[in-house]
Amino acid sequence: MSSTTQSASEMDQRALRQRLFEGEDSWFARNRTLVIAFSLILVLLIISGIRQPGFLSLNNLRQQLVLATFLGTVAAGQTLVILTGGIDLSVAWNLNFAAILFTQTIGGSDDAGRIMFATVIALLAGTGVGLVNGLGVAILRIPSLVMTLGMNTVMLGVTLVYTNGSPQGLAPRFARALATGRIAGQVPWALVFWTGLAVVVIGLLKYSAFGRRIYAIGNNPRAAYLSGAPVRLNLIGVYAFAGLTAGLAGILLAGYSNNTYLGMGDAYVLQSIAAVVIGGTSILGGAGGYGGTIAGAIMIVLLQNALQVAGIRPAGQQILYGLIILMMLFIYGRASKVRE
Amino acid sequence: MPLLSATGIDKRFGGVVALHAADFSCEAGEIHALLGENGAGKSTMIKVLCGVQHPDAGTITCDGAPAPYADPAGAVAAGIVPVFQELSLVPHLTVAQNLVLGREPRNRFGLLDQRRMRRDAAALFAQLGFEGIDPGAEVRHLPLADRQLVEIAKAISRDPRVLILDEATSALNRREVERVFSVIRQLRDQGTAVIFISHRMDEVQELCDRATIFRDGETVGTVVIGETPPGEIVRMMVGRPLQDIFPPRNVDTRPSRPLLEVQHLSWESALRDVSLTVHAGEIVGLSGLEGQGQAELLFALFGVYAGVHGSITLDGAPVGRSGPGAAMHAGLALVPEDRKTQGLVLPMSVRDNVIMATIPDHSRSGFIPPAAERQSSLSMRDRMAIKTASVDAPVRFLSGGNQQKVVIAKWLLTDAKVYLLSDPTRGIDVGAKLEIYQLMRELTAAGKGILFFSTDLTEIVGLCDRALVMYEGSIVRELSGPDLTDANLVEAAVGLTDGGTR
Amino acid sequence: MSATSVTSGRAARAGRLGGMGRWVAGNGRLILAFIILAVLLAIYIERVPQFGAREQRSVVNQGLALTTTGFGQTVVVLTGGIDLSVGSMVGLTNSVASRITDSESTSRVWLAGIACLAIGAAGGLINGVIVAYGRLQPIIVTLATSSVFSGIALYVRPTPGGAFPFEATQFWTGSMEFRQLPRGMLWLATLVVLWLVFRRTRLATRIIAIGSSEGAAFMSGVNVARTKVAAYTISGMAAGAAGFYLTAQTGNGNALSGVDYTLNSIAAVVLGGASLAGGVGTFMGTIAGSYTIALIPRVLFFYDVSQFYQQLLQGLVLLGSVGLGAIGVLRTRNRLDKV
Repeated sequence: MSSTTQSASEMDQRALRQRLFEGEDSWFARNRTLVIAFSLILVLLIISGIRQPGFLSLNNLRQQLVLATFLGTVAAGQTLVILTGGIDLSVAWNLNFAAILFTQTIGGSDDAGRIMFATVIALLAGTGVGLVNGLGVAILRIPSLVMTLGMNTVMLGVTLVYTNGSPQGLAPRFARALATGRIAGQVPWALVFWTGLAVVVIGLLKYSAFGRRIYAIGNNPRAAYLSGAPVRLNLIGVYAFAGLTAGLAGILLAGYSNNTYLGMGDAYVLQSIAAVVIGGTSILGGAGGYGGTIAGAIMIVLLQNALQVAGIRPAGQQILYGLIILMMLFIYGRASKVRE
Repeated sequence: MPLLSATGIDKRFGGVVALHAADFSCEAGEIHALLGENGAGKSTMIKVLCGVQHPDAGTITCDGAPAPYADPAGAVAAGIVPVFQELSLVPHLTVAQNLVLGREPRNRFGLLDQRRMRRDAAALFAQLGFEGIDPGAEVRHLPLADRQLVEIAKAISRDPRVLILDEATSALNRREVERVFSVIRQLRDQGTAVIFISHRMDEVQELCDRATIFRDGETVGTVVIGETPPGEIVRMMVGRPLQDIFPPRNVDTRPSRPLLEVQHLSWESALRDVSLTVHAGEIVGLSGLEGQGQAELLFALFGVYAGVHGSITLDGAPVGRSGPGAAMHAGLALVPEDRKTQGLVLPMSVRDNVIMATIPDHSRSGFIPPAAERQSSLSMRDRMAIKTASVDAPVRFLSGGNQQKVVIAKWLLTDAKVYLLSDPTRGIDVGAKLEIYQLMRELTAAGKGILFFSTDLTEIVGLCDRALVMYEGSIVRELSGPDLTDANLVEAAVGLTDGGTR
Repeated sequence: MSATSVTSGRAARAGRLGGMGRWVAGNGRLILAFIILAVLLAIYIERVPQFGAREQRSVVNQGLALTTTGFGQTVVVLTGGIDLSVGSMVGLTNSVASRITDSESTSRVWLAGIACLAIGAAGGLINGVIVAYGRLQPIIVTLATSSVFSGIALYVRPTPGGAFPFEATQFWTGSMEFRQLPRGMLWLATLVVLWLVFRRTRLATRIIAIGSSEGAAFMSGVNVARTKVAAYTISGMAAGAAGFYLTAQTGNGNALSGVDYTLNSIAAVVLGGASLAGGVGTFMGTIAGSYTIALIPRVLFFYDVSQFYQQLLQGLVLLGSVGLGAIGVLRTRNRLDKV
């Protein structure tokens, strides 16, 4: 096929193609799920664009991305937890409580100090819940499903008691601005925030010692332990981070909807797990990353929008939602066999 | 006509040749040993015979016709029943339930006939002469020796035509071994073929009729036990004088300083009053029956256990016991017994695994510069001659020997003072084994100390300056110099009193 | 490998007390579950003005649907899996049943019952096949199917509605002639008998084997896939039965009626001493767990505690019970087991 007079650039191209696509550890093989996820987003965009004329407008796409930010924030913590082989079912009411704590502490005032204080304690509350989760999972070895489930119920109770059943308070201007405002009228602050978060999380997972240990723990905590990794501390850190992101999402959501209500976090449990899994991270842990979760979050938001616009009733949306998750699982199952 | 035979078997795993044109055959009514060093191909041949692995080339015949089975269940149905080292017992079921799992007896209501299960189990144990095993006990509560006996009983209850025992007696004491042997002889007399794999030459001599010797993945030959001198068999196994396999000992007569000093170490019921010293430049071996505390000792030294009594010092300073981190800080390294579940994170890359014990050393403000880890992993790959296309390849694609090299590389990077090696050459090919022996010598030449547990007696004899034989958690004998022989190791291993008590 | 011989110490010591001692040592969580239930029950009976037929009915009926759902969840958890679709299946069968029944006909009630079991079985079968043959993780598969089942339920019953014969409701939720005991006890007793029978089948042994060590079960010739399919089918049927009971109890069909049942059934199973890793667990424990969860609101009522504390207490009880059971982990001497 090739004569000896192949040009140098042709050979470079071949070599590049080889490194990218061929073999077990080529870029494509290792990031197969990521490629699939983003391709599907493309497909969704195209289909939606065809069905709904205004869909591909800048305005609408921006809006979708802002919605995806909230999900993406919760899913950041969920990604880390799932990577270690666990699951966080407490995001719903952790988020909810943080949001309500935030707005009720501010109580309508405009005082910057008060707002800062409210932000801090809301984030502290979220992180605190995560810390408790981590302690239960790492030290008492309570399965994460049970621990976070219990904490979810506890936080539901705490929220009810704290609000006496009816949450009060409005979001302060800065939160509203963060969630709905734009820089120079073009780029939403929320997206700036998400980009920043993405850089932090992806950098953490790929390049930091902590990130490396997360993958090791997700794959084989015993080997990680025997290599000197502080497994318990790492796990606690992971769950605390998940609590922090839930708190962050709570504040953002409070700003976005300008008020808080009971149940505002409920949808995010399943959706954050779905975003992580659709993004290619294995539910067993040890494989995947936040890049995929970003794709998963965007896909879910686009999907919901597409289904709504297509006039499919909520019932149908649910069914399709479930079927699509299954389909993605099958595709990934064939694509990557990282687990033994 | 041979009952079971394999001819011209080829089997590769990745780039490593496990078997090459290997032959094996056994007749009905004989006890046939399969001999060879670690990595010679014995286990692979057995797995091929049982349908667990499929050969790349060659044929298997049963009663002269091509083997009618393609998987383990089929093999068992055809009467070929193996007892592997990885036990096939379900921890949360009782002994009786395990014995009949897959073909549980039912009463007339279609429900489990539990009384019959218990009766049959008790009868089976009585018939075999295995005492003291309660059919109603859950397997997870049984000690290793009992589990081995249950495994053997389970295999025999399947009415095998060919019974394969792969190191199935490694934890049994003298009396239990005698029992099992008498059962095996009975089976032989009834026409069953028994294939017996063991490291213990004395047992092979006592029990077996014929032996087939493997070396480097090939069949060296088949001999009749009574007619061939043991020395000749060892020569066939080993292929060259012992001096040529094991690198020569360092000829350094200077008194070396004690590195690791252990005094009166005790833990639960697994370790009792263990005291030992490892000097700089010394390889100290741990030997004895399996499950006597050797692996536990290494774990205890490495901080894996809580509640360890006694003192552990390295270079005079006490070794922290809060966990592996503290042990590493003091200068210890542990290459654990099971590289797949304890030594490596299989799906992660060679690079990731190599730096796993030195992540803090490779980090700057919490981040790992890619250049640093790349450099470490590449230089380790070259130094240990790890055969892998790229350091980014997942470690699970490597052969057993190369995987073990990755584990050792990981620990070499820590520049530890004393290396704890827990059966490091189990299940790896001969080439890698030799390289590991060489490495051990290099380490000792550099003044490091090695505490080394192996189930392969020739390694203990060939590599160690001193050997400590353990029994029931204590050290019962120390052998060195001309006393360090196979025979002495075996004799010391079975305990001070004949038969031993459990 | 060889280090596992050490863990037998505690059980060996218990063995000297005989079989009974061994049972107690190995079933601490189960005993704890019943102690908690007994305490709650005692408080309730003591506090309530009278513990007559009406109160007894109320207590028993409160936990029946959850206990029934828990039956299936117990079976699945024994295999080491989990079924997150049970709540949706309860909602689905509730909705379908309410479409079949009307306010008069008893034969329709029977028809609805059969339909519930059949639909539950079908859903469970789908779960089982995907998990066993598709080789996908149960947690995410049942999460996906739960969405599908919910969606179908919404199609069947977009808004709550339906009717159920009043006499039938009275029958299922009423009291018997015999000492005015709640008829629900019969339902419970049937479940217990079913469990005891199930426990003595080959299927149960194989289910536990898979949960305890799938590898060893496979090596012993157990058909792992078929056993898993059976387990999930049972879970679906149990959820279906719960959905039927819910219809009888409420006289109504609501697509969202099962929302709490998924996580509550898991809580019940765990409270009852089961291990989510598989191999350990019993329906008796699940009964204790379910009724503990069901009784908490009632007990709170008598302490004049705001209903808002109900959830908080449920969560704390769950965590407390699991935490207590986990204290044993802290005492393990082998840190590798704690990883």
